[in-house]
Amino acid sequence: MKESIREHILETLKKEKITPKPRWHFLLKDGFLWFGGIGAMIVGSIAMSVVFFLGANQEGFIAKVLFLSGWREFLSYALILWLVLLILFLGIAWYNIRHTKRGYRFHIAFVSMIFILPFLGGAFLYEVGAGHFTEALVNTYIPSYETVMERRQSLWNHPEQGLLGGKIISFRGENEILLRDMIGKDWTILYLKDFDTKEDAFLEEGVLVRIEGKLIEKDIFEAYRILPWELRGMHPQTMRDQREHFGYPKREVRGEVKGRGTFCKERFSLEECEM
Amino acid sequence: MFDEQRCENVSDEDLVTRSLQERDFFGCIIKRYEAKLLRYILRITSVSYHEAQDLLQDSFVKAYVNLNAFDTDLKFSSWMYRITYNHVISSYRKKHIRPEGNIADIEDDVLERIASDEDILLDMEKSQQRKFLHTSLRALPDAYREVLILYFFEEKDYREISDIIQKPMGTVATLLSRAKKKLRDIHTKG
Repeated sequence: MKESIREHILETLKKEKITPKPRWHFLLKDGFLWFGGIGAMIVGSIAMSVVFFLGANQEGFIAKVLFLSGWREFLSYALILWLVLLILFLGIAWYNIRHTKRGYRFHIAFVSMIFILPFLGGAFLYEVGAGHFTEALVNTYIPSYETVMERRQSLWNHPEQGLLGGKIISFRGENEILLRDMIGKDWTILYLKDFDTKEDAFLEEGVLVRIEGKLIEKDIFEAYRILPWELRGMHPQTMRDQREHFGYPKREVRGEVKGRGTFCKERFSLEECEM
Repeated sequence: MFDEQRCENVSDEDLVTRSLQERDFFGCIIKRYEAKLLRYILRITSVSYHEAQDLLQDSFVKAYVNLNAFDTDLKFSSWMYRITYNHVISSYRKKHIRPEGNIADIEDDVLERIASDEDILLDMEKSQQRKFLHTSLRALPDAYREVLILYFFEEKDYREISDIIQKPMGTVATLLSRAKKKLRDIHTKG
């Protein structure tokens, strides 16, 4: 019987012309797993940098506490989306590397690198502005994706709720600022009592700022706190581009201001957008 | 007619190299492993002898097709066991049934190995030992039973078991330790 098994197998191999798969087939498969695994770690690092960027620039707390309702404002969809992407790509990286030829032999310390490296890489990429850049890039191709900057513009366009953003046009004496908001309206900003700026070096003409305070009259706003408009972990060029898009439409639409690219096209004629 | 003497004193690894050039050398690999692997299949499944032979044949064909994937860092026997193990598991998955194991014939040397490692068998007669192992191994979760069979029945060490089931050595050690504990629990509960 034993003989017959052997003969049967050899006969099957011969009759069905079964041959060993070429070596390159296995090298390619292993290479694909490594390439896919390392690629997924790189994409994971980018996703991590965006998570850091979104985390560092979360303003949902202000929105929640001050006036907006719902958890959406507290934790943006974008952050959840990027966290899901991060987990997905780390999962792919783990799966691929574990399924390489000797993946099962790797020590737990080596395997944990699959999670540690994207974390460190993400921190580095966040520092050089890749998180900001990636977010803006995604917004370019998926306009419905709301960037941190768009959320910031929406949030800081509620003077009646004590949140106002804009550009410093000029200073009038020691306690007054002339500010132009995102929809082009000029405001007189008073900063008389309990004024708080952690660092007022940024207070210069032409600088974009966020102001927490109180609406006094229709064009007068009292500031309690002035904050820089700039994002943490920003990408310099992307920031310059976004500054250029900082509210130009000459029409008052409170609470719905987005970046010029999307906002204008949605709400204004082409001529107005191109002004 | 292939002269089998050409395989004498040739290592498994060299036979792999020669099989890639001349198919008949693969017959020598089959000859070396068919009995061991057939017994292994019967141990980890509940299939009939004929079904086990079919599984064995398919495993050898798979091994031949994937001969270029053999990693010389591994022992050839580990690689061959791995292919057989994977084929058995996947064929059971296709049928949506659990490989229960058919450990009807437990050789004396296996009993001695278990008894020397675990004191649970010492107070039993051989027939009782066989009955106990037969019942308790069937009651164990698949992962535990698989490592116990490889360790006690197939006499594989941790590295080899790790290469066969493709799990880290630490995991193998843990599985084996838990499997032994489970055996002791079953013994204690009577």
